[in-house]
Amino acid sequence: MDTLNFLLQGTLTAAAPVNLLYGFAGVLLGTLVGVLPGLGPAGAIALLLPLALHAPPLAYLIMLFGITYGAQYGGSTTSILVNIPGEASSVITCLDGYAMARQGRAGPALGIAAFGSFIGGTLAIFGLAFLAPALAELGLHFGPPEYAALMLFGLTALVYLAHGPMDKALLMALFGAVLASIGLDPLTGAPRFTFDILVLRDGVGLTPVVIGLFGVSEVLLNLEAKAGEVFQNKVRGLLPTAQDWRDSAAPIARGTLLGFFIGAIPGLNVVIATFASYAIEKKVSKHPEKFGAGAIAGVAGPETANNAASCSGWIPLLSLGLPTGSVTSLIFGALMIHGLAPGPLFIKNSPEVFWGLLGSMVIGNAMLLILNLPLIGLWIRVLRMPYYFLFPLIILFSIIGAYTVSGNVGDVAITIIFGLVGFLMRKFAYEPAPMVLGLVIGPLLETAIRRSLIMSRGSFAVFFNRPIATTFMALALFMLLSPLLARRRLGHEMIEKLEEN
Amino acid sequence: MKRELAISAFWLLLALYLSVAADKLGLGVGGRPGPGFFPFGAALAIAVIALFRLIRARGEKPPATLATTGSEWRKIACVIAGMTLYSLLLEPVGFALCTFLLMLFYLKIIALQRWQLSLGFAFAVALLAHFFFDRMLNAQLPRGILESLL
Repeated sequence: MDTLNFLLQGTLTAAAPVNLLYGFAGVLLGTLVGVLPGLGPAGAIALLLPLALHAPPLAYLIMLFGITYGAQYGGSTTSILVNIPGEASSVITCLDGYAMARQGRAGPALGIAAFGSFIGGTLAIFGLAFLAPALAELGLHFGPPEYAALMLFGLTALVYLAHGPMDKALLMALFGAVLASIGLDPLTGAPRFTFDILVLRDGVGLTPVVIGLFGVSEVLLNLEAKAGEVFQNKVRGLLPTAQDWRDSAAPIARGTLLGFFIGAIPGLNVVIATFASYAIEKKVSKHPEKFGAGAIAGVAGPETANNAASCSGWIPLLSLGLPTGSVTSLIFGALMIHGLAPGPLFIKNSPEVFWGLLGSMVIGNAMLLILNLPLIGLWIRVLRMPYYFLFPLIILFSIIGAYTVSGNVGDVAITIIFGLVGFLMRKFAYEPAPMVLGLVIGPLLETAIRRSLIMSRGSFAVFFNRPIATTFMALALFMLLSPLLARRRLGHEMIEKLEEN
Repeated sequence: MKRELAISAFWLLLALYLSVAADKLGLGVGGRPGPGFFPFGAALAIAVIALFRLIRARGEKPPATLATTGSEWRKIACVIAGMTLYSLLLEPVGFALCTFLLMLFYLKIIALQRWQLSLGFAFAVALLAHFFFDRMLNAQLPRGILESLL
């Protein structure tokens, strides 16, 4: 009962006018970046990080959270109408969503995607409200060795589940950790790799790096992009029929459960939840041959799963202080800017922020359901916007974002450099997410490892003779070494097959 | 194959530099790991993975990468040149004027739009950006040579 009371209090806090306004801006912006193929939620959050200095903390965080789940809604719109996924988590929706649009059923496809997202997202928030405080309680017993092992596990899980080769992802994570060591040593204060350059003394800032990696590099990759061709110009009949509901009820229920549990596991992500949901729906369906030809269950399941996973994905960050991907890493940075240290003590020390954020997600999901269906006409117009109007604005926001962090042109230079680095990384199939995670948790991991070694007087056995640390280390080692023993990584065969489809 | 060799060589060189630099910073002793301890460990891991990739790359088909055309490279160079010039001129020239010039450059040179459209877009963005960031958000952006006018 306490949990429900706290959630109610949080919802009331989130309903304060300023929080409501920022929440509204967040979900609207999130939907917009979800609709636009060239800019994702990570890019939008990166561009908005400097705003942290000017906005009230809770309202600002509510806006950032709104962007993340708003993007899931927006991503499905482009998948269904244009066959171009606005977000990676909507790739699978293209298969049946676009097929439905071709049959003149874009309305019910968009409708069931919105309702499924609402149901999955809202139920996942309740799960988050119950699970996160319990996990945080467990986290209070963690010492430096447990933290080091947990972070290594999170990093390894992200690497294991990376899209491309694991060794490339691992290189990226290590490169991020090396970048994080630029600046003053956290324990002794000695300068490291600063080359007497003033801007490097405080370290390579997260904001200029991620603006470059996600904002500028996206522009460089999309310069030849054309405006989307919308298949169905006028969308009518957004409410699914009774038969649509009958066909979608079970996929929505399964999508919620699947999305919630996959999202809550560090390293697993929203995309995997959608692919797994699609595979399950096809497997249990009486008419698997209809999948790919406009089966509403193929839209309802994955769209529910991606919102549920997007909400439960906050559990590792908010309860243990463990970011699990680029978006959670950025939010981690945003919390740190406001002096709110994510970790087991976060819920205890800042209950108004934790419960306020959860409450805002309940309100935000309702806002999206009410807003999005009538706004579909607007999103269609946005999709038709030529890219040559959009890219100069993204570049401008990138420069302003980087400059206003510290009023230093050096940060703009870092953004330009990482824009190019991000571009080359995509060209050579290196993923940016492990690098961002390495950059964010690098200093925490280093401090935890060094403190553990000080505790144990230099013995690495400290990571293997305490039960929690040993469990995390065993899991991390299993994920690192398993590709040497087995030909394929778990789950990758399924993802590759579905992607080929 | 050649490309993979070059990339692996880059990682190996980076690892070599990092391990030497980390050693100079001090690896520490026994129960007191020094400032170079963590970067040294990371460099060692990078070297091991780069070697592994180098060995595995022999005789392996290189992965397909996204091709970039000549016109794309030209546009990419223009975007980067625009950003670099903007960052160099931002403080002496000022935010509003730099924004106007950057927008005009991108629309006219990269997007090849008509003069009227490019000028109108650049002017509107510069004006709105100045009012939003400078006046409304008080974002401390340099006003430069137009300080007396703005």
